[in-house]
Amino acid sequence: MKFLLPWRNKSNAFKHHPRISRWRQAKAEPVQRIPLPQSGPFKPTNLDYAQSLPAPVDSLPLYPGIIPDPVTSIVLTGTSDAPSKATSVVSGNEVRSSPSNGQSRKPREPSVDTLPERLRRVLAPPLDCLLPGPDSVLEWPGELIPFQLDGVKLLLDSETLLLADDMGLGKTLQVIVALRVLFIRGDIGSALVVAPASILDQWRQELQKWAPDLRAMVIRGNPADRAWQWAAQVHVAIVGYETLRSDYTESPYSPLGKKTWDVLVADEAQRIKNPNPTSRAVKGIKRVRSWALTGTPLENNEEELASIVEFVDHHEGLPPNTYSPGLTLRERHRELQLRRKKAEVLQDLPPKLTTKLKIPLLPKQQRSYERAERDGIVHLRELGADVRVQHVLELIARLKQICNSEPETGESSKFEDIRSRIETLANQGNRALVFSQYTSAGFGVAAMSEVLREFDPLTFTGDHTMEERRDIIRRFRTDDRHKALIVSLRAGGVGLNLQEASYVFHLDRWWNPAVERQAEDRSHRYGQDVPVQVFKYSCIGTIEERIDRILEQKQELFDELVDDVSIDLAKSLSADQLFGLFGLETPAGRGRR
Amino acid sequence: MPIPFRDLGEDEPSGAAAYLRFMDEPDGNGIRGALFIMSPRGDPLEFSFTRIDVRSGVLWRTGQARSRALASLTKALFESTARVPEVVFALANETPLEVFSEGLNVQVSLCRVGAQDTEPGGTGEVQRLSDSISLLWVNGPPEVGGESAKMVEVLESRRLLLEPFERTALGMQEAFES
Repeated sequence: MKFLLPWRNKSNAFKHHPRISRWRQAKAEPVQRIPLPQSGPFKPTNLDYAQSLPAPVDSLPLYPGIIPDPVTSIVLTGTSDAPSKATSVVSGNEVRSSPSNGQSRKPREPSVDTLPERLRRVLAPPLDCLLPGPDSVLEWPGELIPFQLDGVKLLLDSETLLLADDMGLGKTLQVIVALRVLFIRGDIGSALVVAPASILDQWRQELQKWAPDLRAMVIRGNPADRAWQWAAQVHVAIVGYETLRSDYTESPYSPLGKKTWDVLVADEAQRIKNPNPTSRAVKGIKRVRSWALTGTPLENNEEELASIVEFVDHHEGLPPNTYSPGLTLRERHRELQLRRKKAEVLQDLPPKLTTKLKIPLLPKQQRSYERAERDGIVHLRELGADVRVQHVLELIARLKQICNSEPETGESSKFEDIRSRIETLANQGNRALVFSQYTSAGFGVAAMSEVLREFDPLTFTGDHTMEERRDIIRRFRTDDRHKALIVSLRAGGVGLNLQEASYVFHLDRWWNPAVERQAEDRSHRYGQDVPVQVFKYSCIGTIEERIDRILEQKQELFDELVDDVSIDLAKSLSADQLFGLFGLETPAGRGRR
Repeated sequence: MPIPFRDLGEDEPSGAAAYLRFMDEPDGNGIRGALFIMSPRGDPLEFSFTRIDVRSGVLWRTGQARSRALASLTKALFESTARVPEVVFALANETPLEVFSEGLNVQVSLCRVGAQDTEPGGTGEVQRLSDSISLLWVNGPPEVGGESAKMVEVLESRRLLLEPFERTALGMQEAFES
């Protein structure tokens, strides 16, 4: 027998206490397998966990007549699963940290509620010791502002949460801080983040910055790579929506089918707004906690909200909740949503000033536009009963492209105006983001880039690989010779942090104001220290003006439902509205879109 | 067998700190004791607990039974730990100096934590901290620059000198009453 806490009995009357029992455990995991005594903590009955030590023959109690009950001693090593230090990079850009002691630190599996587990919980450092702040025992690369700390605390307490803060308020950051604290407290052992492909690396980088002690891995590549990636022991797995959809099967033997994640985060959760395979895959993942992040839980109609609420309102082992538009959905939405608006919580955030620029087409553009619209309407009429909404959308797309640039000559009033404005703002040391839904060399990102070539612009589109995208963002953020970043709305409209730019141009209009606002908030977000100027173009007398009116209505819808959680959905985009754009009536039987 | 080394670039003390608490049982017939050991970052490492009956009768002077019961609890708890902390803290108002001065000679830094005006008693040295805390060192303060002194410094900077006693109390509640 050895005394590990050295002390010496002054009377030297004996060396060993006769009735000490021990419960020694080298690791946290075995604790979970060891039964607690049924008769109370002081009378261990199971020799697996406690062992009565024989009393030495020559020992005498220190104070005859006063002998404590056997001691129960519990080693609580569960909290060290989230390693305190990580020193090396392993396997290229994937596994980014490994234990400094060379031992494998496996994320902990959820455990049963034994006394050691309960003790570990009540003995865990208090939240104030862990959260970013002056008294934190953890190293944090920065501080959170109070509303963000409130968000983290709510995440820590919530198995189900729709975090719907305005774009740019740091939803990702709040989740990462919450994840780190949960791992360190030993409350969770695994987390899966599902996000758009364009921001997977941003998640990994933010995790590396704010939770360097967690192992994170982006799951991507060919199926063989993904197979081992899913099986890898990491704290946080990060995967794109498309990859998840590909890899998900309901089979209980598949990597995704057999595992229950402690936390499942759906970032940009508007991606699961529709009942499609992606949405079904995300909702099919077994999980304990469901957190959805989106600044725009509603883009078009209440069904979209229902889908997101269904994901969040999940309780593993119970039948899935289903929602349809109506009072029940709205009430549940109100209970599950945490939403803070910039104007409320970031009084110091510089304003976003939006200017709608209505400019005339240049002469050749005008002629080309009029001819295209005239021919298009004639074509729609000729289709008669066969006309579809799709035909109208095709015509709209063609006209919008001409509004961007005349197809034969490249003449463009928008290009000229943007070039002129960027010249001015670049001379003042400012930089700009230009968004377009098109990537074409004739009327989209590539064409804009050519017009702005003297400003050394960078382009960011879905044609770039993930590696290239990372490099583009890095170059734009670090090299101010690049005065403009021209971004495809689909590829870069969400998730990117681009506070380096304080001017945002919408070369063309998207159907959805929420999507436009997301794009603008790449720049207008926490960390921005100058006012952000947003310019939205529409050409006078064109389809763009008419679309603009629809966008204004949809913005009102968003404000009503998401901000005030009340709704009148009479304003959704209908076939009538679409046909009405060209003075046409909806053919019988076509109904609403 | 790992190669022993010390990371010189590492400021964090590597050891542990222990917090000793005693509480009377609700019926007044016994005392509960617990020893909570944690890392300098506040991570719980080990928790030991037990109880003891407090004898009464003509053979025991007033206070003597309690004092000896505390010493006996302390000894049992110390004996049971799996690791050696750099420093052991106890609350001055629930752990009389006699517990350590008469029955045990503890060979790690041992500190009774009290309010600013707590009398140290005996020959112990007192360290008054800014936030109304006194550290009453039973065997003298730890050697300057040593691991124990570093530990105390880190714990103080993280406000972890008193707070863990509250956690220990919660742990006792969980252990004894659940």
